Amino acid sequence: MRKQKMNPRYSRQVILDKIGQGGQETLLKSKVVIIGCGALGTTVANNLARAGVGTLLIIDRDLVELNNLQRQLLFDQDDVGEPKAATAARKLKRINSEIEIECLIKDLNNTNIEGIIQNFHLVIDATDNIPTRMLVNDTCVKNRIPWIYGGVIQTNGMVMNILPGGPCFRCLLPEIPSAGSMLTCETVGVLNTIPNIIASIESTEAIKILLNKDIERKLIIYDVWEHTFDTVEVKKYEKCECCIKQDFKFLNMETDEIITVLCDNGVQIIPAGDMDLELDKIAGNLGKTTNNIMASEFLLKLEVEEKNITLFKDGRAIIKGIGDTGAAKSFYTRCLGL
Amino acid sequence: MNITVNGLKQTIDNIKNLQDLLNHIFEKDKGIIVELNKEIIHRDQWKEQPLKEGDNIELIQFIGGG
Repeated sequence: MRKQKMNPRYSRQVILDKIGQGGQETLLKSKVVIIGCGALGTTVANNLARAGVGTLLIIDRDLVELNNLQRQLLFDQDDVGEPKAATAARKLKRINSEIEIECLIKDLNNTNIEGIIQNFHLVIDATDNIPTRMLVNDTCVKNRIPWIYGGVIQTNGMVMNILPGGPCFRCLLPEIPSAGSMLTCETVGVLNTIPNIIASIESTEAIKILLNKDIERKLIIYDVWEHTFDTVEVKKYEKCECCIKQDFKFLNMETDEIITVLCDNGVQIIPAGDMDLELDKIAGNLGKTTNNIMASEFLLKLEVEEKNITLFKDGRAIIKGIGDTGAAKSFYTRCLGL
Repeated sequence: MNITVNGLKQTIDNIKNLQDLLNHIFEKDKGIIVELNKEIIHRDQWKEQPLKEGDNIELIQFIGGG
């Protein structure tokens, strides 16, 4: 029998009995989406890129902020203000140039999610909110794609594998909790060691799912401060709206343009459907009114009369210096020349 | 009736079911998961889930950060 030549990059996990040469080849053919590129997302992406998962798609809508550097491992000071997904992809390509690493700077919503994740083997949740997880759950259950839920807060974290056949995320949490009922990292903080652990559990489960190993469907709960680790059985709920009744309400809901006031009084505008803006052209037009303008492959930043707008290729915009949503929409429309 | 909530033994009166207990503990919905004797009780069943002497209840805050 001809012995296959081993790529030295992966030699330490190929000699691991749980992976082996066959397992490594499967990983190299695998396609994984990572939704969210914060503390969990950067660590999962780092782990899976180094492990040789053949195709990674990293999705995030945000820009790197200084307060991210405490826990978001792929970013450094020079990245502040840059799009997270593209920055992470750039760093990861320097770590492993032998795999495909793609990025999307996009707000994932029910108009675009199915088209984006349909051809992937696995979805990893690294988001920071429940509505997106509900949307991921609907899409993955409908399309029979496994996904891994992960969450962190303070010194605690949770992970659960959600596989075709259930139980699904809504067997655990049937509806989005009421506004203000959940703790967030902005309000109660997060220790930087817990996302590492939770993301590493998610990454390990990802490898096991991709290699078709025995997979636990329990909810894993860990507190890094108290050293408590628990696993809880989650049963399939016989009246589950999603995995039993196949009612994908988060995926099927009508979507209008979404305008929200952000924590720092900025206004975010998400158009009803994805656009594909020619940022260079828009920058050229706006350049006649101000010199304070910067356009890159991914975004356009403009400052005029103490108002500033960050405009993304898909039409989403973050506007600062205007607290009023109506005025922000008017400014947005003017910038786009609509 | 004596029960255990998050590891602490408690004596409760006039509480018939899980929903009554949660109303007694929380002013409003806190996005929690409820484990009764090592089994998760679905939110829709809280009102119908009776409590009995010696029950062990874990209230788990659902985690949404990332």
